[in-house]
Amino acid sequence: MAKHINNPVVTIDGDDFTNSFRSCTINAEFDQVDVTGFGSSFSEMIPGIGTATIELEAFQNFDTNGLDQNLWPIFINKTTVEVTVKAQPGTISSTNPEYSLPAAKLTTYGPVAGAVGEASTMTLTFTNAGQLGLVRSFT
Amino acid sequence: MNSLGVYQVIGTRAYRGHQPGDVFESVLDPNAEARAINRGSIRLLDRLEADLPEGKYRLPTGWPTTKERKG
Repeated sequence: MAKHINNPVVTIDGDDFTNSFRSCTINAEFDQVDVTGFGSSFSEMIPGIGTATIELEAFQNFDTNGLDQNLWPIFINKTTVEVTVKAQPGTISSTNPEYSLPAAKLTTYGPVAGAVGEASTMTLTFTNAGQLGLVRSFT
Repeated sequence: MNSLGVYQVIGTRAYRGHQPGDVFESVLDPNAEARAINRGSIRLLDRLEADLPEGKYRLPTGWPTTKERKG
């Protein structure tokens, strides 16, 4: 049983940028809607509208066709792209699912960060911008 | 409507699970396809359109043709 994640596959707009990232966090949650009626002793909460994001910590790269050249147009043009994260390489299956935001926008992009002697890293946040939200595929 | 395309991965990265040099068939979103071609990730080799030319097929016995159904 795998207890750690060390070789996920990350694609942005179809391109495999796995080697550019060192961490990945998928967040999905539903707002809580209070539907408590008179006479209740406890709050009655039901799930409301959902939000979903994929956060990636990346090593910046200004090379030709590098990360910056690909991400800047997506960010500044507010382009809707698909972002996928698979737990490990290989065929998608029930034990190797792929999570994706089929329609996502890059909402956080800090192209320059770092200090002397440090790797230039940045956090990217892709936020759901479509009807499907976060999708789990296993076939 | 999106159509089936035959593509080759020409960039240095894998594209939708296909390794550089691979040829694959897929129905891509037109905008995603245009961006991928523009940035040099893939190239379009062929566009496959479903086609069933008149005279190239026969309906099972007793099945009305479209013209007959519409009267």
